[in-house]
Amino acid sequence: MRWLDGELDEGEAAPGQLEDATAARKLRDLELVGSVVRERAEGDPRADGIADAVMAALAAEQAERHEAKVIPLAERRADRAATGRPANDNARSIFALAALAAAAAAGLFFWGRGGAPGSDELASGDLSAPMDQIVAERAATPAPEAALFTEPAVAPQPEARPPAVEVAAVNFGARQGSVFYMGGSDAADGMTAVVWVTDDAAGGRP
Amino acid sequence: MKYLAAISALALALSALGTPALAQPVPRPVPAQQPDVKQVKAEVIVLHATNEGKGIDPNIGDLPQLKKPPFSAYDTYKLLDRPTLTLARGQVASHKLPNDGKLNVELKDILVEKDSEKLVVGASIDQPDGKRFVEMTVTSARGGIFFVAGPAYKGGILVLAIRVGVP
Repeated sequence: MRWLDGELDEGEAAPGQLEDATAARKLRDLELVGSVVRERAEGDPRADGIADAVMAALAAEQAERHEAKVIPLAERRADRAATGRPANDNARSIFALAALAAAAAAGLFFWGRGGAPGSDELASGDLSAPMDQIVAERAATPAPEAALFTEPAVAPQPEARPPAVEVAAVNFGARQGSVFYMGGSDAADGMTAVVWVTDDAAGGRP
Repeated sequence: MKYLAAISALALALSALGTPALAQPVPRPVPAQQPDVKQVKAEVIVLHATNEGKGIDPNIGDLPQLKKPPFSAYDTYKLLDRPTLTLARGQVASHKLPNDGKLNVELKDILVEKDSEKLVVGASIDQPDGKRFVEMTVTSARGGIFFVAGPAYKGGILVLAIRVGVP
């Protein structure tokens, strides 16, 4: 192959395989293939186009480099010295973050002092007062019709009364159900609870 | 850096001031006294609710809740049974229901807070096949009544009114 391409050094001996009929046939085949490849490559215009495109790109890149602005290092250092800040000076950012943290802490402080209604009552040790207040508020506010099946509902009452019965826990299993609170027979009675389970066999909700 | 140190100290100081304000002292629940009550009685009123247009059975007695929602979804209430169960603390009292299910009632605890006494009662309903239909825990004053409704029965449902702590 190297002999065919003319790449043998002067000291290297020419192959004697030409005397061999098989080697001579291989050499002819290689010459034939080489000639066909050369003809097709020289006839294809894309080869020259690729080279031109690469060269054009290199020229454009070179021109762009020449257009970049060069800042002298001494001038740059002078600007830094005029501002009085080193390049790694993040003090202002840290200052802003610290101020933000301080503002958040102050906000939490004032919110904790005045924004938690009922905290004073809890601290006084009167456990029944907040629950009574919650029950009174719920009793005074009629539950919307759509909310009856999503959470325990409180029927509208003429006045808030302490509940005589409270449902502490209920397990409907795989069924759906609701817990209602409603008034008793007279004003002396407290509220009563209704645990209503939806039994599919009975035809659904109340 | 001096500003940073000063601001950090200020933030820490304000945080230290704010922390106790957020963490209000939570009072511990006062342990309820355990009265020496061995058992209480519970009256169970078993009703059959349908829409047959026959009104409320006069034998039921004073249950005005039946005229209000959600009970007003049915216009007919018939008294089927009125047993009285004796509830001993920690023991389950059962009663067979008309649909061959079973009502289980248990006195779990008696709480005394200030001048009031609260009965902690567990109640559950089993289906005829033994599977649990619903279970609940209620806290009631003596004489308080609560309702459990829902088991299907003869074209309507069963409604149980359970009054605990009856004499």
